[in-house]
Amino acid sequence: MTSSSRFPIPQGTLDMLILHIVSLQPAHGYGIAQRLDQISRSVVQVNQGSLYPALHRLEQKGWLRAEWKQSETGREAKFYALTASGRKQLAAEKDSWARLAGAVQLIFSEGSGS
Amino acid sequence: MRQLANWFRRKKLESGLDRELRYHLDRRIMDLERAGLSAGGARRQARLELGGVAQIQEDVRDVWLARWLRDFVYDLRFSVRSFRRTPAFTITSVLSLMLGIGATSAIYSLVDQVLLHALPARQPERLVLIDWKGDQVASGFGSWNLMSYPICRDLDQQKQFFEGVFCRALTTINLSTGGDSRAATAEIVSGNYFSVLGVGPALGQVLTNDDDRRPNANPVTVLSNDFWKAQLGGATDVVGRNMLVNRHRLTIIGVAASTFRGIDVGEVPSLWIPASMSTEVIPGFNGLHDRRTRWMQVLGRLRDGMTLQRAQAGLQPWFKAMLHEDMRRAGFPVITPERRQRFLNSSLVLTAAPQGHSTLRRRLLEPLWVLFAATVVLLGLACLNVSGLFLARGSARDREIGTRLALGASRGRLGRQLLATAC
Repeated sequence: MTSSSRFPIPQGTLDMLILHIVSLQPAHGYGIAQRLDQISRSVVQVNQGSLYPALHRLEQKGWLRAEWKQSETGREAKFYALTASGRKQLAAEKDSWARLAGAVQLIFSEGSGS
Repeated sequence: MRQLANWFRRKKLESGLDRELRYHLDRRIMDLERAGLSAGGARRQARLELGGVAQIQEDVRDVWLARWLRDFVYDLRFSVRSFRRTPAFTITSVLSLMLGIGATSAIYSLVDQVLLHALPARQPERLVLIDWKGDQVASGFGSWNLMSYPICRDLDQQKQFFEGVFCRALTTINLSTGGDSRAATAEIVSGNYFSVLGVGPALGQVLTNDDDRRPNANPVTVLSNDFWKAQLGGATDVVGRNMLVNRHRLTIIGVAASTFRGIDVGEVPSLWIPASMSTEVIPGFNGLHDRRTRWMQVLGRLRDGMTLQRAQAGLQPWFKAMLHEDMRRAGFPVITPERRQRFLNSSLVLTAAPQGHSTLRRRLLEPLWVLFAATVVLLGLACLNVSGLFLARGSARDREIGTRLALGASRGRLGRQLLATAC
């Protein structure tokens, strides 16, 4: 958990990652933190303190819908699910991310080609 | 808006966040214990990972309601509390401000209505009032700046200066729509009144020159919007209905636009009647075509590009010629040579009348400004009074502010708190 090889998550991408994870299936805060950890193979470090403000921000923007439901352990947990406008937002962010990544890649390959 | 709504359900939000964070911690501790940590170690580790709960709560609260807004609400509540603690202070300040602001806004609304409000007409800045300066050798009623209907029509022909010149006279009539009859204000106008002012109908049509050609041939009237709404309930089928005006039947042909309330402040006419009908609707009046009966106020619209001075100077030759012609007309009264001289020395005076014209305005012009200035001074005194009170209270709060600074409040934050009091 304290390995120095982990990257802090790039600014502005946390929202996109949360939306993506929730788009697969509704999840509670702890579940989202775990999934982020697992999927990124512990390469990306999510500051858990910034997870909850992000979740509430997305909920306020209407991209997430929250609901108290019984979790796997039997206790009630707050589950977040993607709304229709959240789905649209996720698609838009994925698209712009792909364009940015593609452009960066293009610049790198240009540099190595010459 | 949504953020402000959050303020009112903050209790629910807080308890939800509490449960959410507690769930997170408990789950993490459970997982860590399952991975082999001791109970105490798992708890410590979980807390370390999550970071400060208080910090997270603050961050999430910022999402619910922007920080500055939240602070502002707290500050407002603080000032309300401190005002409640000092009712004498509060009542004194509120009363002085009430007096100052109330008086100023009351007088200002009067000034605005009477002096500043331009007519809801097309390009009101080109409207001028036309006065006869000198002896008209005429009989008539009303104030000194009235003229006869034929002279107004002659002025309307001076197209090199005016787009149009219309005349109007206010009169009280006896009006009956059905059974009962009552007094109402009517404006007798030349047919081009609405077209020169640039006022259209809200319903039906307005008067035109065709309604003002032959005497007593056009028994029509246009209602003011106010009258239509108040007395006829805004009925959409009024066009074509008849009304009895001084026991003469007039047909309603339309309702004027709602923004137009006549050209006099404080005197909204109920209806407009073409001057051609004046003999019918004004009992005993027979002076419509008499050049020496002055009874109508004359206003004109300058041509595009024509200035008031050029029009006034340019009008005089024609006017002098008209005076000489008038004197040779049959029926011109026999007068003394001195009076004839005064008549021939008459001239026309144009006054800008973007706000229309009213005797009320002319009378109130100066007193109103003086009164307005006085109330502004009063408001200034009230402010001075209140600021003195606040100053006194501020010095009493020295210790409190010192404590706040010592506890780490920033100057900016303190300033905002004091400003919130001012709100």
